[in-house]
Amino acid sequence: FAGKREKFGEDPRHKTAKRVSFKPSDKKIRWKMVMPWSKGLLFYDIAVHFTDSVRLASAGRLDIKPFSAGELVPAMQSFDAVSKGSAQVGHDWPGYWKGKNEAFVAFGDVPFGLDPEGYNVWLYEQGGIELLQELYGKFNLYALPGGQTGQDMGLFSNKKATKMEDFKGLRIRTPGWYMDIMNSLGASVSPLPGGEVYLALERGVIDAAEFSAPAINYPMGFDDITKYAIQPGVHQPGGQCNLFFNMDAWNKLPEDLKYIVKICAKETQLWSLTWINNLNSKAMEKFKEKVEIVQMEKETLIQFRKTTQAYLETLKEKYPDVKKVLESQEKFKQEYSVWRKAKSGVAPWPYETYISGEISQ
Amino acid sequence: MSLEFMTIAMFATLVIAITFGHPLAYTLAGVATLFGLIDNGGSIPMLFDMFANNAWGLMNNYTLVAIPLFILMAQLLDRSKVSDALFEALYVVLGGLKGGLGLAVVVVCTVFAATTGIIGASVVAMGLLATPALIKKGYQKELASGIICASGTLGILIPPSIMMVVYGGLTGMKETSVGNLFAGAIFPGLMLASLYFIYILIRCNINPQLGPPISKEEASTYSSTQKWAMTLKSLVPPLGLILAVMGTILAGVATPTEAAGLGSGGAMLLAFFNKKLSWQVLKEASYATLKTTSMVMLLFIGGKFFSTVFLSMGGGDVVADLLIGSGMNRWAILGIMMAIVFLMGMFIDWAAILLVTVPIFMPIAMEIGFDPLWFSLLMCVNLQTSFLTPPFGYALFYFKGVAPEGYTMMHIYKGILPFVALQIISLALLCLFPSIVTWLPGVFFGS
Amino acid sequence: MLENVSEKLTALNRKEGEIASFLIYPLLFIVVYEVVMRYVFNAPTIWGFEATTFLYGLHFMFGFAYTDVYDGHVKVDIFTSLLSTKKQIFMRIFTNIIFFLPVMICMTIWAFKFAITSTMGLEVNSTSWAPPIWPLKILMAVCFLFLLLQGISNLINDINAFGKK
Ligand code: NA
Ligand code: NA
Repeated sequence: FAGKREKFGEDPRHKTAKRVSFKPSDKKIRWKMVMPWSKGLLFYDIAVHFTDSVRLASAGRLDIKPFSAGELVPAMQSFDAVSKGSAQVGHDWPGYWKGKNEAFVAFGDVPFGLDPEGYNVWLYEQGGIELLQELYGKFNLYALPGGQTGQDMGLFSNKKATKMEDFKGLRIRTPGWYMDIMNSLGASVSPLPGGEVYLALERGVIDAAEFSAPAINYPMGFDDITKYAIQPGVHQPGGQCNLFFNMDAWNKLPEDLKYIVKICAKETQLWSLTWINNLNSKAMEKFKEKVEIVQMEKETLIQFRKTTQAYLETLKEKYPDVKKVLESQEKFKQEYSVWRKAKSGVAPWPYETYISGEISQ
Repeated sequence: MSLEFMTIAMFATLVIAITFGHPLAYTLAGVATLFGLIDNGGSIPMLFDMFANNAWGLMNNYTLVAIPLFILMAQLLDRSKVSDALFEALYVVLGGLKGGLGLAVVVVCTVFAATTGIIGASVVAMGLLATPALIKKGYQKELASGIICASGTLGILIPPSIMMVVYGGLTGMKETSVGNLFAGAIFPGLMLASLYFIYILIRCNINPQLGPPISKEEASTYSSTQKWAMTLKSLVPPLGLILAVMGTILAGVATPTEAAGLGSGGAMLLAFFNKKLSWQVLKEASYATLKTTSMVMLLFIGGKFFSTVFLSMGGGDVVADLLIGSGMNRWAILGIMMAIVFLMGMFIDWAAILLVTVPIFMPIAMEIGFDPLWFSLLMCVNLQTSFLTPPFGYALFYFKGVAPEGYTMMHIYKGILPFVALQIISLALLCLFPSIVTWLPGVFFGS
Repeated sequence: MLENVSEKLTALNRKEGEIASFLIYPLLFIVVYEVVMRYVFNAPTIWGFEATTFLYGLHFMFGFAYTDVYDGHVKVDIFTSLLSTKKQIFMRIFTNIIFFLPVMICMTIWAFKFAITSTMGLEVNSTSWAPPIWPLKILMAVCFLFLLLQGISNLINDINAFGKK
């Protein structure tokens, strides 16, 4: 005879929400937002979506003017600019701030790391957001998740590479942690500056390159100049973006506007995921016309994963902050795996795919 | 104060401040500071943190690494005297024609334009090399100055060119990458050189007094086989450099920035083979390179501060609303933008114009549906006039610096006008036949 | 006394510029080395692009004051050249005080603040090679200081010349 059970879980916000007494502010606030994105990138639209949401929800009381890369400060200076208060808000992919603290990368993506569902559950329910705010807080910044672009496109390549040995000597352009991983797998990785990638790929200076989710990648035209797209994009199963606010500006913000900002950030996280993923499938259709989409072999993937893990272990040893974040993510992966396994990838497959047994999870 | 007022006030202040004769870069930064403080509610920290960020960003701009390398290349090339042999050969090949020496200058300058990324060196070199010959043959002073200044300036339009490096680095777009700009500029540059060529030919055939041919005896010192051999031999070094720069970009050996390095290395080898490479030469080239590089880069910083504050105030939107919101035909809007650039070119240096106008005009041009690459090349052809238009034209000053006795500024000013007109004609041709720009990049880069 | 200071500052900036100008050769070497390693040996370096960029940045930054010593920063002097020498000197003093000094004093201070923040965090570049970049930020501030000093040297010179007229 089982004992009586409580409701399984609660919304912690509700306790404060029902007691809040509203004195809506009538002060009109103008903020500037900087970002590493040029106007041609869908990331820019994600940042702008947030500013629109805030203006709409606050009836114009908080008006954030977005500035694309280079308008106010150079792309990679967005962090410093907001930290010092030259602008009040920034939008980012946190991996860009690797040089400030290695742990920023873990909030943006980890090779074989969290997917969108994983990031959402980990950030909002498993203490990820607290770790995020602790890290940004060291730089006089308040941060919120604010954009999820899903899994990245794999490598666009002029050489077909699906087996381990194919990657040996392949001239690749990829930044960050994945660069080190590919290097240890025997590829010749060059950290070519972003502006040079297209020409370098097209002229054969490099064999292969990757950049972001399919829909974001599409305007780059990599498919025009390469023969293969090597899937999956193991380097980034879920690209996570953040919004960050100058701490002094944030603290001065009236209470009601703080709620609006928080809710709009979450709305942006949801909107970007659905918007980009819908576009991703359309972009893949277009890529199929221009390039052959090839899959890495299972053995290769396992080898990649092993090398990645070994690399991540060295990072954890070297940087305590990385260790803290990655262990929190790994703990989540472990706990969540029971449920992931139980779900068994039932729902999303078309009928024919499912009955043909071509289901991968 | 309204935004419209601030926008106009900022430009007006700049125009007035420029006449004070203070270095442009400091003037731009000064005006930017004044208006930046107004925009930021008087907060010095907010403004100068932003400026420090921008200065640091410039130190990290890989595309711009090509600037010092192209400047070094020009310095080394100038000291290795490789243009002398080509001019000597063309002197006898083309000299017999009416206006033939002028044509020789155009050809030499066109060939060397394809090896060097800056002007100055080529105007000075041709001024020293060709002017004595032109005087001796009795060329009209105006025409002689016009030919040398205009042809010497082709170096900034025919790739490689630091103007396009700056442009590409400023926009950071795939369409206007340095490689695309280089490819797009080849035909407009050659077209302009051809216009110069045809103009000199026609003008001297109508009135041979302007540019008489060399004497029969002088022209026939060499057999025609000898003439061709001389020409071909003298073409080897510049063609080698063209291969080192443009060839390596197109063949996928190097990025445009790296190609600048290969060109510099090539120029060093040429100086070595011409026995002109010495510690003294390396030292002088190094000092001269730093002066020119820092001059351009400080302008970059001043221009960046100015455009940053201008955009931060919302000035970009004001100009866009003014032009696009006016309901004018898009060609009229284009015409206004081009006229502004041309007029600025009479008084201000190309880099300052580029740095101030591109961040404002580029988004407008794209919004009204012009091809970004085509528009960029239109800007570049237009900006080339800034070297030539009186009263403030670099090429004119460079030439005055080396021109012999009897050449006044007035001769030079008058002489350059027909060539400026040819440039305006070439702008019109680019508007009528956009494929002059877009065809080659399409072939090379499939865009 | 002040004249002496002005001469010393100018001499300092001439010397630092002459030394720094030679950065162009290692810069050239690395660029060519990178192309050869990648194209011929299929072994690109992880540090080539960054090292190139750092050298380029330092090269032109050190050149600011040096170029000013030689009056090499482009200006539009077609109007002021019509004035008498004394008025020209006055204009130089005037523009130096209203445009140059306030901007460069603040620029130097905030460049140092920028460098200090980076130095406190021992900031490295956000790349795989991850070299320290705080020393470069300190050098950037030092270069603005050189430029400020050159402007002060110019001011002393002009004030002296104005007094003598
Ligand atoms: Na050129
Ligand atoms: Na001019």
